[in-house]
Amino acid sequence: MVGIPRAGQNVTTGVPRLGLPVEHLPDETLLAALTTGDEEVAVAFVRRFQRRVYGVAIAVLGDPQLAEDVAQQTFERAWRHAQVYDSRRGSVRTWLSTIAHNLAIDVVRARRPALLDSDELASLVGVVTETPERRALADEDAEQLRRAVAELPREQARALVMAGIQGMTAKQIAEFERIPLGTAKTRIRAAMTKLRANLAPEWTDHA
Amino acid sequence: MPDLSCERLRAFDAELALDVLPARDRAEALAHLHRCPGCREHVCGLVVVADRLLDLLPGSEPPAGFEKRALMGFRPRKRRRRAWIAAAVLALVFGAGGWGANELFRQSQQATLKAEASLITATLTTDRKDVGEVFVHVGARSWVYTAVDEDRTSGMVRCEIRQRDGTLVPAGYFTLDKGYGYWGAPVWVDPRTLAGFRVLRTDGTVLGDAAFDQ
Repeated sequence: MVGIPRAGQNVTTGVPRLGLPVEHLPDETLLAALTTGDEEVAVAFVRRFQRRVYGVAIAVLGDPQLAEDVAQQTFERAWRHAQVYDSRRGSVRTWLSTIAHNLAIDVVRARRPALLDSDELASLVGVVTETPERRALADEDAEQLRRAVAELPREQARALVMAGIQGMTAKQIAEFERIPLGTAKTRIRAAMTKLRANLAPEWTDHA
Repeated sequence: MPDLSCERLRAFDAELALDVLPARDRAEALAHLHRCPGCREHVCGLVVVADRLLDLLPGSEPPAGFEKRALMGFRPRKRRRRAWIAAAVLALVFGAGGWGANELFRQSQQATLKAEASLITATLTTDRKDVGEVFVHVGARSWVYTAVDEDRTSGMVRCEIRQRDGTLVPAGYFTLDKGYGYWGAPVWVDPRTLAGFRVLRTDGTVLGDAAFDQ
């Protein structure tokens, strides 16, 4: 007879801890273990990724309460979908960031037309481009990407941040920058094309 | 829907990868990607770049008490529990062989699955909003179960299984009452070809779509 597990019950395979404290489990193992319903694992998972998840949410939303709501939903979604995570498509950190970003963009789009202002945009562009402080903290891949973004012409970097972080369409970017729609589209495409060309082939070739 | 040329697709490849294309353009682009491995690989590379952009955002400490509140989310919500309960009932019924197999699937080619039995779940979404869940049990007695909770639609809806080659296999019908309803049936499922599941209204519009390859 086929049994169906309840939420929180393991539906894939057992996750041996190999005698390690949960805090030392690799990200992928910790995520897989999340499906067991083990509270210690859940706490470790939230502690490990809460800064990342909340950081994405607050960067997009700028509102602590909305950002917290989105961060909570992100963890809930990760828990519900832990068994379909595929490590070949990116790290757990990137996966969680993408979930948080998608949820945050949903909120942003529901609040339109309250677009970000010029100061907020300038701040976001500054955040994603190189600074010595962040360089010291970043991993090698992120640093490579940060350098590539910093080398973009400023108008392309702005278009990239508006589309890639804020989820703005080309039409919204055109209105914000007071430029033709075609120019906005060209800036987005040029920025992404340059980033891809500047990144290590192993990043994107097996995507 | 007219097919795009590769040249046209690549004119908005970056917007597609960043998920900022208007809905109609996005639908046409996705239809093209479905048929064009070259463009699919090209856009996948850009999606990796788009995802990694988020790694450039700094971490930030959430407000006090966040951890406790986040852990509360690791418990099933009341209405979703109905889905789990219904799924458990279905499992019992299927296990006892009490459900007549859908004619479509009785005619399907039967095969012995070497893969171990497993449960695959995915969220049905539309316009990035959750509208339900789908559960696929892959094993000697495969079955599909879905629960929809979207607050609007009432009436008949139909289910389709999407395979990796793009073909859509009719799976069954059920009724929604003020947006809520569930359905399950024994279905022969090959995990190697299973790509997604969707629920459609009778007018053909998609009520929810779930991808299993995420």
